[in-house]
Amino acid sequence: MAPRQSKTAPKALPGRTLVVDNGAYTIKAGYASQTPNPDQDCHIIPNCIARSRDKRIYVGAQLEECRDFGEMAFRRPVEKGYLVNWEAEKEIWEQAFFDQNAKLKCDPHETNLLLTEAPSAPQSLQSNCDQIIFEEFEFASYYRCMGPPLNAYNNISIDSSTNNPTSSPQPSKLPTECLLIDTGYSHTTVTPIHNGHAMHPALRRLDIGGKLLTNYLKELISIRHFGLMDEPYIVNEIKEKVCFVSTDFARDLDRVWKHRRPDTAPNPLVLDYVLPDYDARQEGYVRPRDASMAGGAGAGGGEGGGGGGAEANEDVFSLGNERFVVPELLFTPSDIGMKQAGLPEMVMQSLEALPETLRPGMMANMVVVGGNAKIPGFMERLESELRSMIPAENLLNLTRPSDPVKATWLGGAKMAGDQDRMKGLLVSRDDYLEKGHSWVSRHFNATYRLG
Amino acid sequence: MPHIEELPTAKSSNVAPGWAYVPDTGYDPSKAAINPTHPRKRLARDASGLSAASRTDLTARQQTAIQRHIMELDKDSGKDVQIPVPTRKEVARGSRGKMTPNVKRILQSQKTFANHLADEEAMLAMQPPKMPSTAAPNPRATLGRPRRSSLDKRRQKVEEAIHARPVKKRGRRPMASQSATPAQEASSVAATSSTLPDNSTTPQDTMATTRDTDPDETLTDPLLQTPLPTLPSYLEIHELLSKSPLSYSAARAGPPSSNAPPQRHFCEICGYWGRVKCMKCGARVCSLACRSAHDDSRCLKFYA
Repeated sequence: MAPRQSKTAPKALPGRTLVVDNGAYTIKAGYASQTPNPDQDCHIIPNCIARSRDKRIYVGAQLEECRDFGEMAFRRPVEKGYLVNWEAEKEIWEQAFFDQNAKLKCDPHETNLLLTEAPSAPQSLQSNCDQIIFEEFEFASYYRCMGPPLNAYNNISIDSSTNNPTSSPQPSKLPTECLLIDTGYSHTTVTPIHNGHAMHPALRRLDIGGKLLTNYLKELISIRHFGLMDEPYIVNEIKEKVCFVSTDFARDLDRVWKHRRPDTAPNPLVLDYVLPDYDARQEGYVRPRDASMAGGAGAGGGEGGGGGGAEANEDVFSLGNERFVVPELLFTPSDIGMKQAGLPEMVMQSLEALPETLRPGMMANMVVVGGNAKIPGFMERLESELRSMIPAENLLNLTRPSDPVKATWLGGAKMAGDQDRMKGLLVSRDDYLEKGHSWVSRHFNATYRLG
Repeated sequence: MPHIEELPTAKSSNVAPGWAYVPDTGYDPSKAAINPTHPRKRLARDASGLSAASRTDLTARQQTAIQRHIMELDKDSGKDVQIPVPTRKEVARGSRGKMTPNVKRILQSQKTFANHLADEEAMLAMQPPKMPSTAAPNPRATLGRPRRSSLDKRRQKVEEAIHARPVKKRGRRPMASQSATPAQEASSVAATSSTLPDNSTTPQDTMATTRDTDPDETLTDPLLQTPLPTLPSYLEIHELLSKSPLSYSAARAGPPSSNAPPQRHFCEICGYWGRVKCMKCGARVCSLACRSAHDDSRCLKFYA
């Protein structure tokens, strides 16, 4: 004990900490401070290497320069939420953190790194990650941790009331107990958190995320309207613009069906979507359904382009039940034959794994983060379904941070701003070189577990 | 005849190269298409009730199709795209030294997540089953040497605090979020606080805070009291927190409960309720119009 203490103590840790929430779709990265500001400090970098149809290759943030997303192909180093392919990830990191003109340029020798990973990652991937961080990038010190528990460091009541700060005169600190629902690109996880630590036996994962929703929408549109199977970017854009979670699925499905004929009254549930052509139109857009167009692009699924509408060169199709059937998968995965419980039931499964006395506190502090939380109607639907499942005398409180995508990063940045806390967690490069990567994994595992 | 049984060994290095123990999880529909068994064998297997999960009203072929569909939906891109990483100038390495063998191996690895997961599962299957008492291993033991890390010290501090100050401490307590109503406060307070040691002794004191209002004011109101069972002790919570993380497959959400509504079926063409089954392929359609669209383009396409 004594020699190790004396060896590490004199070498002070660098003051700067880079916080990286390495998601499958985007990297959320920025430097930690006492009071991090998500709008300025957090940069969102697409975590992909993309190739356009003119064979140009875009790495990470270079995607902003791209003007033509037709037939875009993506290579993503994070697979099912876990960092698998370091060859591609290294290139994206180099471009984001180490190149001469990188926005977040850092000297790894003078920087601490806080990196998130998805829960229950295979050990081989964890140890690959540690080795690359220390041997290739040579960060001065590093802490790898699970993403969801970091949200415990967010001051949730401040986040949700940024619009009217007067409503909470005294910013409260975080509740000791919180049930975190993280619904991201690869999967959706439920993590009960106690004092900032995950309660592992009650952690649950649903294998549905934004990626599966996009792919499902892609398939539906391709069957009914246009062949968009090779257009992941365009379909993702459609999903973000038109999809919503229905509060009454059967009613909405019937409504769309009744209004399928063009001669009936216009239906607010059915929208026309105009595809981008990357010549005159850079971005697709939504407009109310045009009855004169609908003859061609009716419920039967004819091609809208030949419908003889306002502009001859417009690719239009109408979206009806696709708008809410797709996000519905999060609530009823059995719609595509998946043998997993939906999100509300998964929350209950997770609660059942906890001692009964902890449940009321968890129910009263549920937090939803991740990109899917931004789908309109998601929170309302989740709340109403959970309300019908939990006992009436228990209080149910579901919150969403003002920016659910950056929430995990923000929590990490706040934790990293606390120097004393970080000292016990970070592993320095010297320690790694002396004790090896298996010691580092054991150290991180011990910090995961400790209560 | 003597009974020979191979006992699992603790060290994986004893295993001869080239093969490994793989857990037999029974009938896997994703493999059925690769190694199709004779229909008669399949009937016999289904009749013997080998895998209860596969004995649904779906045929093996339909299950395989569903499985494949889900895997298809979970892919990152429609087709298998091969995008090479653009070559970069060596200048960028800057002050960093040469690439180490470990880094080279990892960068050149072509393993996918499925490969890593299979490795992990095989490794877990090889490990001898743990005794319940060792389920939450002491970090002191896992670190190899009887050396005390800072984590150990913190843990011991917490334990000492518990022994020094048993159950009764009330008054200062961690709190629920600001927006909570009194009823919620009462419940979450009751669930968390009373057996916790004083905050200043726990490592989490930055996250738990105290409130100005007197807790007893809210708790004494009979209307706000929730009928709660006995509170979990701090050790119980600690025990829960000190379990090691679940494996990938153990963390997967379970199937829906038995009283959940039955699976819904949708028309393959328009997405409305799928009220009619196609006689040939079993796909669902809603109306005659969709039926003919299905016959024209989709039917038998995948089952020919």
